[in-house]
Amino acid sequence: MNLQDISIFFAWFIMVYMIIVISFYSVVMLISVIQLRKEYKLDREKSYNDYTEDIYTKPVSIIVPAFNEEAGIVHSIRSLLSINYPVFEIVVVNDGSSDRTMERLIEHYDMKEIQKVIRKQVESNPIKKVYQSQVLPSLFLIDKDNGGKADALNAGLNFSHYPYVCSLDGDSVLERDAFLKVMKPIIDSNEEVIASGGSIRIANGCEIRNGEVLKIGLAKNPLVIMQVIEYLRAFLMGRIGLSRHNLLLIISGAFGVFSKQWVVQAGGYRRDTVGEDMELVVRIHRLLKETRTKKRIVYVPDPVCWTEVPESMKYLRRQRRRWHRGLFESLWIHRKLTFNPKYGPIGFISFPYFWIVEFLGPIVELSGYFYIVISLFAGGIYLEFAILIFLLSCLYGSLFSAFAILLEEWSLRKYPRISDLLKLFFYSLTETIWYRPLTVFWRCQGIWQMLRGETGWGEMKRKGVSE
Amino acid sequence: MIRDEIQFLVTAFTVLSAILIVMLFYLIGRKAAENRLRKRVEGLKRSMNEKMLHSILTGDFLRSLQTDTKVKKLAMEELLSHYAELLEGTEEKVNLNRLAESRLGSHYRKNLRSLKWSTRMNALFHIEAFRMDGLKDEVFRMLERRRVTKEEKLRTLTILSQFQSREMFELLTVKYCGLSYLEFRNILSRLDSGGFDLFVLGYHSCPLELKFAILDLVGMKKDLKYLSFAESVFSASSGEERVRALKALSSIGHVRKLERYLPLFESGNWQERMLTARLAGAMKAEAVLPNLVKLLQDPSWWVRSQAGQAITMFPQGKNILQGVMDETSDTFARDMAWEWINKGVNQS
Repeated sequence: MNLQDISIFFAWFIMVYMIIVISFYSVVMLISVIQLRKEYKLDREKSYNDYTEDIYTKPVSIIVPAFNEEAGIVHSIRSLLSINYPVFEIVVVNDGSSDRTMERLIEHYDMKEIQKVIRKQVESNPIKKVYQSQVLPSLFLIDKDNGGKADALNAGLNFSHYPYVCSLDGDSVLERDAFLKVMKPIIDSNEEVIASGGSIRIANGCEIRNGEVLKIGLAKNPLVIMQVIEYLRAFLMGRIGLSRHNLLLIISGAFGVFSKQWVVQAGGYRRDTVGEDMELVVRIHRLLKETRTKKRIVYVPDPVCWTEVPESMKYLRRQRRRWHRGLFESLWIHRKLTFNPKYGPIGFISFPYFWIVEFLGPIVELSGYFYIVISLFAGGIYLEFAILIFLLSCLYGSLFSAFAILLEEWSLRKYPRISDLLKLFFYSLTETIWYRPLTVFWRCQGIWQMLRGETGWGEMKRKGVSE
Repeated sequence: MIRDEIQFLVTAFTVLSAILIVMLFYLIGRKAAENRLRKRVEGLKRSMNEKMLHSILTGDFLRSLQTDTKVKKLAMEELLSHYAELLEGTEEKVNLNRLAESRLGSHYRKNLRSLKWSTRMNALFHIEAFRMDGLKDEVFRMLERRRVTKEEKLRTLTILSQFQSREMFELLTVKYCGLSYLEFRNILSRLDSGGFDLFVLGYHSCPLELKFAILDLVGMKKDLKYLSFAESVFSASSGEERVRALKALSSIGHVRKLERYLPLFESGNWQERMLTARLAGAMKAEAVLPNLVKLLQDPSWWVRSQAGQAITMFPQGKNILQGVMDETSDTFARDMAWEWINKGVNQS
């Protein structure tokens, strides 16, 4: 076999890979379209109204891990206090912040130390003190030694009183009805649904005051616009499709509700991974299969949690590297599930999908880009392969994204202006040329860092979403 | 041979892009039309608002309130929804429902027969929100249709229950006896006292899940008139049914002879121990205080917590807990006593 054969074989490999991925995406997309079609123009508000006054609605403990968030914490809590849900408590876990996060909360909400017996159901670092607000009895603050996000969530779990828990990032803003919406599948299914995640939207560019989204808008920064497209695509196409068949492996850490009983039974959040949210979902799935329980994890397209995304290359790169490592850790910890008949579709569809498309995808894509660049110089037959690969990646990147934008406009319609729609559409077509290669490169860097055994993932900088 | 593939992909690419562009134009057109429609609806709502309020408050429906166009229907529907959530008075509610029936009744009748699932569901939502019992027969007929989804059936049953339909007992015990207890409970919770009593009377011919719903609602209603019913169910049943009957009794907060329930402090089921503690706390029976103190050492956190709460219900409760803290060597009991003494603000 000479060099030419090898490079032609390689080109075929990349193409076959892309075709497989494209077909998989198409199937998932089709499922999403069918699902969204059914609920087309359903008056969702009405269907949630049913529960507003329903005293039987399940109470929820909202756990907010906070590490050095003095800039935004008071606003986030204020936004939480105004949510529309009958019974809930807020448990802020101060994870050993070195700034004034805790002092600000204590001053602002008039918090006093209380004595509580805390059941240690999952592992966490020791809790130093517990505070309760004198003005709002359902607001608590836990002070503990630093132990990372998962550790803080576990401490919150141990403390929480209610049968349902929700973890929420300190810098997110919830829509008022978000909880009614995510809890609905749980109530409707008579608790057959044990976890429910909501869709996350990007707050950059929206007008937010005092923790409430006043006006939905689109940021000017191209990086942010591309992330908006990316989120829409992942949520609308990927998760609705996967959720339909109980194959969902991610409930974003930024907004999801879990039945506490199951989280505790699964052992809480794992403290030594950067992808604790995905890892927990996988572990619950695993537990369900191992105990042969018929429960489900779902994704609701509508409820909206607004979160801030990185605006500069530097932080976006860090985020992507970290995500990729988190993905790998979850898959590696539970590698036993891969193609294991005992775990049914999770083992045969979800796991292979996450390994092949999500984890290894960037490597194949990156080599595809290299192939294209090199063949520009080599010419001849290689150039033709390069054109083929390029066309396929346009299909896989740009066209699917453009379709996702149209799907969102057709079904959910969150962006009110026509100019926003046009902007999103045309930006999405450019994805293959610049944004996709960038993220692919960063994710490969993530793999590289992992191989070299680097730990730590750099701190994220926030400017605070609320005015 | 590769050229063929490139040819094919380029064609596919062009076709797909063309489709996407066409869709984009369609959606832009639709968005523009919808933004326009929204503007008109909002304008109309502003001009209709006063007449509407007048009609609802006085019952005198102005002739100028018409719904002959789509925009008017939408504006009327939204205003009515707004007022349906807001108004409290019985007379206003009746006026609102009459207005809804006269102006939107035929619209919803038509929508109930729509081929689109979401249109039918929306019609049901509005019929329920506006309490349009004039459409009862049409709603009832939804149940007899073939190809009706479970969501529609549940909504229909809920509406019939809200209309105090006389067929409820038969429907729920025969044809729809397979629902879950939460679904039953949601349906039954809308019945008035007379309608609900039929279920209490016919309790023994109900499926198990429906029995659970009835017991839960008895607990919610906290009405002493159901006391003997709940007590008799408790003494005649076992397992889950018995626990739920006990739960209802502990919510009512009274039984005729507490002594009969005291052996439950030793029950192997933690829920029974917890519920008995709650019952004893609600009845403030001094004689059982030693039992409650003993439950502070229970292996189950829920039982300990409930026992602590029950003790605080007594006038001398805090002193008793202080005594436990000073004397006991059991760390569980001490922690729990400490917690209930230091409970600054009431937590629900």
